[in-house]
Amino acid sequence: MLPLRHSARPGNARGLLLALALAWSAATGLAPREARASVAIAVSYEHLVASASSVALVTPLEARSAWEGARIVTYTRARVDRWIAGGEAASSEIWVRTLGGQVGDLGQLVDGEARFTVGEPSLLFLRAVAPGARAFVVASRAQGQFTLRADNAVTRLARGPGGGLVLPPQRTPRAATIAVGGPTEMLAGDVLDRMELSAACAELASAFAAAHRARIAPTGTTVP
Amino acid sequence: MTPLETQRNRGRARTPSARRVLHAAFLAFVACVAMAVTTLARPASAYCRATTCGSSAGSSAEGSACETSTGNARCAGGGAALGLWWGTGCVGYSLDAGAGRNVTYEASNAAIRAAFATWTEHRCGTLPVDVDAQDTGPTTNAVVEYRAGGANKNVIVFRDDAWPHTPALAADNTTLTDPRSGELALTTLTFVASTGQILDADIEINSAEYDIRPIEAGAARSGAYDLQTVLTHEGGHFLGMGHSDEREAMMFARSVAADTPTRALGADDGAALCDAYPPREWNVASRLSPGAAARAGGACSPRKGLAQPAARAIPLEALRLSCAAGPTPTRAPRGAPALLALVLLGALLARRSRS
Repeated sequence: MLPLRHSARPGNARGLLLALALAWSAATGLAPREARASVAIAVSYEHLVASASSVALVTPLEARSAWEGARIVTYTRARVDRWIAGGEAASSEIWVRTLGGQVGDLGQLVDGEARFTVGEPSLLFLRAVAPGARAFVVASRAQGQFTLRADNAVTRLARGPGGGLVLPPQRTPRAATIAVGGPTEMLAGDVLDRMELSAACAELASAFAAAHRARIAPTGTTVP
Repeated sequence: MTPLETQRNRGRARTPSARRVLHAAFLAFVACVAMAVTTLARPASAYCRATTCGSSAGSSAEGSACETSTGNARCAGGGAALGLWWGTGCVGYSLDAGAGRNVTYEASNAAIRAAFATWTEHRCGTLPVDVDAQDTGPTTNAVVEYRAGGANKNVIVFRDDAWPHTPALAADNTTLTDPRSGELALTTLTFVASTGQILDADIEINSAEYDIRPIEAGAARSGAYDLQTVLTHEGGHFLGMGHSDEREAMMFARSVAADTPTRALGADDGAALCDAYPPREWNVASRLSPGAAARAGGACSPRKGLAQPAARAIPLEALRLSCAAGPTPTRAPRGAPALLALVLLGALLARRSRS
């Protein structure tokens, strides 16, 4: 039997094993896990602001579902508590159209759609069903809805209850340099989730004005 | 031995014992901290089943039953949250014969078969889950609809020409450099609101705005999205699954990092599936579960789909609508590795302090 060399003493071997086990455990328990796929692409903050025709804080008052062709859709009448951005400030109530609903004993569910509860306010990124219409859809569906929650006397935004099946945007190496906002753009949910409402309103008003300069600028004004 | 040496020896004799006590206390402290971190910082394991709540006009706070494991989940409006489920044991689907612009019918169908098999070949313990999905052949009339009085098909259709679910942007909105909708696919479930029984399911794939095709694992990024990955997630919705809070789950609602094909179910997905379609051991006399009997008899959702709701086969009280503490995944708790790491760290520190 060969004598054990100094480096192979049982005590050191146990220490090495412990270190290896520690490394393995840390790697498997604490490292980021591979995420799964989904059916929608995570929308960036800039894109969400730019794709909305207005942003408003609303409280649902009632909802009505009906068949439209072979689909059930729901129109939710909502009181506009505050127009944060957009040109529909004259309206105190709007209708928001969402896919799915219930008519009689038949229900339809479209996952990823915004969801409302009567009396529970939401901040919505809205897009007119048609230009000038008082009926809207939620831009990017559930990704365009943020609910409010109280946090130590401060009201903060939270991701909407409809969830959202979101994938990170795919970018080829070339596309990464030309994609909207570039590769460092922030996702809307990451920007707004947990943001204080008052700060969010100010930020959104500013971002919306910047994004929609072309649309709201007077005729003849040069807009870069 | 002098009295002084005796005193020193006594002191030495007591020191290791005291150290052991200190080491044990330290390890216990580390374990407690680890347990607190791993149990408080992470949400409870929570699969969800799609429910009737999502369709209730004006009270649709949640489309998934994620509130309790007692079977008494309620919608925000107060009604019972009934899990959505297929009562036939075997569901047929028809792929649009034209498939998509970037993918052939054969390749699409292979991806669809594989996506459904991921769910239907799952086993609850040793027994197969009691639901199946079978291809009922191509359709040239892939219409997303439910006709209450007529026959229906569960269609899977590629939207090559236009994505019909997003209103056009204002013509003068010039700041939006990418006007696409951001939606890859949409599943519409039609069901009986009073029972949760699914009558029809249609999947639309947004091939008009995005390149969605089968992608081999490890393939270079091309800007395309993997068809089978999308369909596996949609297949879960097709079968009545809701979203999961588990990041490893196929039905996890938000993905923050990976954009490579991921087609396997997580333990949470399997638990949800077993909850919705448990193996029917009570039917061993016939050696066939209802699902297996349907498959054997060729009685999968008929080619023209369901004409009318089938009679309820399961009493409502038997529908478990649990999330969270429902059927427990067989894997170790998520925090176990981190807990083990902290305990081992404590052990290492203890050894060092002894030496």
